[in-house]
Amino acid sequence: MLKVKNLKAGIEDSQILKGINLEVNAGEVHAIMGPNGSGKSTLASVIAGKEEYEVVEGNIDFEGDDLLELSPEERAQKGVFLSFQYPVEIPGISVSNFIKTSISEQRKATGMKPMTTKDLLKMMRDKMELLNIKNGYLSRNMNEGFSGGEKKRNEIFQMAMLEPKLSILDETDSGLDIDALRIVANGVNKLKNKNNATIVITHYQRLLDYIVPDFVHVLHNGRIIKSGGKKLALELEEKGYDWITKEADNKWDKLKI
Amino acid sequence: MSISGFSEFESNTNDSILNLNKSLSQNGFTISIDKNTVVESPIEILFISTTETNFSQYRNLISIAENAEVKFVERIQNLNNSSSFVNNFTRINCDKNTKIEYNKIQNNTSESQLIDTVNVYQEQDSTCDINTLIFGGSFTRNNLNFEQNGFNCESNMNGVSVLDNNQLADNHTFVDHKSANCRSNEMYKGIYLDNSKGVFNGKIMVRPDAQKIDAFQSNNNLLLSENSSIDSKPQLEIYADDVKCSHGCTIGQLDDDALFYMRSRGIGIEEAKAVLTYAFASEAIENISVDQVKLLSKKLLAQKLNVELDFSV
Repeated sequence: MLKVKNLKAGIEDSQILKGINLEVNAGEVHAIMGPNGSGKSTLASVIAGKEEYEVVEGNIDFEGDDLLELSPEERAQKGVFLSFQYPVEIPGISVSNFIKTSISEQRKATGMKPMTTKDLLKMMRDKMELLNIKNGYLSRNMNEGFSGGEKKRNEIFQMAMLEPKLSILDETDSGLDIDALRIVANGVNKLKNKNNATIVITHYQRLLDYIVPDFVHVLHNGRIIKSGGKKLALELEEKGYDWITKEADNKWDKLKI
Repeated sequence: MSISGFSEFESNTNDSILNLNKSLSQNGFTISIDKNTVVESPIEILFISTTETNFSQYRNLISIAENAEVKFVERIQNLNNSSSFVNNFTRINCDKNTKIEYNKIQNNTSESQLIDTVNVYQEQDSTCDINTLIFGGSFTRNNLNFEQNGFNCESNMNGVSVLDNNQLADNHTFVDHKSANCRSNEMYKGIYLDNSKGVFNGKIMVRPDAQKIDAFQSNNNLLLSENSSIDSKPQLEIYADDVKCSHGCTIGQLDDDALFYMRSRGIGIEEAKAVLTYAFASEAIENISVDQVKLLSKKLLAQKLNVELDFSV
């Protein structure tokens, strides 16, 4: 589904991603872990199409399309979804209005008929139940005055409504207490099926207790330095990042010589 | 309630435009609302001109007797593409404990000029809201003058201006707090595209005996092109010492992070801009109580921003 090849990208003069290779297939859950500043969020932003980042080399293929040629909205319309680390507050637009606009624009772009208000409301109610969201939420302004947990839950709610093929969850666990974490993780698990894929970006192993990954990648200094199964995450929790980052640094230092 | 045509009445003024209106006007309306009457449906007033090179002076009088309540929707429209000049003057007398909402929709053709003056005289316990919605016209000037002559009066003004091409809209407001324990509240939102220009001049006067006044004024502006501009000028003149008066003015562009957020949800860039622009204006639009006016404003806004979006959920 997603093939990232030798991706090098940065912002202004500093290069952040220094050659990322990643392949994600339908039905898989990938976890990307790594210390602060390793490039995790940059990778997520580049896949979603944030324009501040400049791609200098490499490519991203999504189901045969060259993602880097597409605008952020076109990527979303193809089925790429980013759950933001810091969701943006938009005063003046209600959650229901935002989601309605988003769904109708996506359907328009893909040549589908608009959804009736009745169907839309029913779908919203079902998905709200899935995520334990209380009534009254739909008429609140988008993320305005939301707590950290509510903002993250709102991201997953949008994901549930838009039914993307590829979901990238950027630090969805940060700022969540254990109950909220469980609800969000349950939601993600219920939305998972053999046709979609999920990339979970996180610092901590904790989230991976609930969303069990098929693959774990460690990102350090703009490169994936180690990949493995779910056991790798447990190992990282126990030993920290140092043991692999040092190993990798040594290797790159040698190469420079 | 009585509704009739033009009637002559006095207006003490040195203003040349109002003097022009007084000397030439032969058209307009006179509306009186009897005391203790609540008029359920809004009264719609239409000024339509169809002639070439229209030059009109309208003079209108509204009198609302004690404990009455009424809402108005006024539209001034030139249907002819030739040049047009309208000089409209409305006097509103609000007796004790009255409640009035006056909605003005000004969506004129690009050759039309409009000067619209409303003088409001408020007695004790009265509330008067005037909402000014400008969607077009080469030159649109609104003068709103409130005089509070009794305790516990409230004057509210909401404004939304959405302009493009070379249009200019100028909102001048003046609230004269002559009496104690009164309030005034102004919220003007301006959205400027292309080479359009906006002016906001809001003056609040608090007279020496008018203690415990709570006056608030805000003017927020979105400049959506390099060549659009806004001149904003708040003026406070305060002679009492126990009052709360504040004002704020902002000028800015749409938030890039919010735009990316919306685009990442599949909303195209023009639509995303339009939704954010609507969100910006909605605070003022939501203060309007007549649903049809709200709906029409949303429709006209979408039209002006050239998107097919329905903001009404």
